[in-house]
Amino acid sequence: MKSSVLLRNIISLAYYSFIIVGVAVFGILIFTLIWDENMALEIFKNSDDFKITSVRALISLLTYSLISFGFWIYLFRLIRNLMDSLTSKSIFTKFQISSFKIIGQLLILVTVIDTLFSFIFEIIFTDQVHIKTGFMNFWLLIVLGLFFIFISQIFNKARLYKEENELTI
Amino acid sequence: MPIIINLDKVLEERNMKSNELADIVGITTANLSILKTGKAKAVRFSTLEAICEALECQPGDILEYQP
Repeated sequence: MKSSVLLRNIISLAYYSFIIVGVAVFGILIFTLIWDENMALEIFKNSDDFKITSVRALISLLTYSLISFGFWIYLFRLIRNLMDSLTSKSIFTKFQISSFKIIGQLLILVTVIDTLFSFIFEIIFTDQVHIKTGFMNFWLLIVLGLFFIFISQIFNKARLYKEENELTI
Repeated sequence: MPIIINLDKVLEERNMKSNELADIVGITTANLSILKTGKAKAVRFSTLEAICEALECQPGDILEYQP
């Protein structure tokens, strides 16, 4: 089960990384709102992937990023809990089935909303915001979300078979 | 389920206790209880054969179809 331990560690790393980045974004947002408006802007002005040139756009984007990070953190937490449950003794439980389904749905929802908002921000703040979004990333995450939902359906069937097998005397 | 298990009746007729039957058949008392209460989803032919052998009866004596 080495691969499961490795996967669990990678998910944990992503989970904590998102928390750290989320806290950093929150810090930048507070700093921009209370102390200095232009200091944080200087960082994003010269960025290639996440270019922002106005304070208004920066505050809006940071606020949205915080909400998005919240969802991603929750998603990674769900995956971590699911991994723990899968590596425990019992398998095909109701918790695992619902977790797979929720993770899949949330993954699709967050991906669609993220992409939609990046487009909206580009329209609202014309020439002030430039976010590089990978087209392949979008489809990859959608496929991954659908795969999670598919796995939940498979687990549901397996639970029924398991129940039937356990009740065969 | 319209299949009724008459195991209790047959056991009483044979003056046999559930745990004795479970020992002879080679299943746990918990599984025998599942069978008696009608919670079982399926019965293996080998189990049915062992029960019939132990109780000297026919499968029809244990299982009954009630539409």
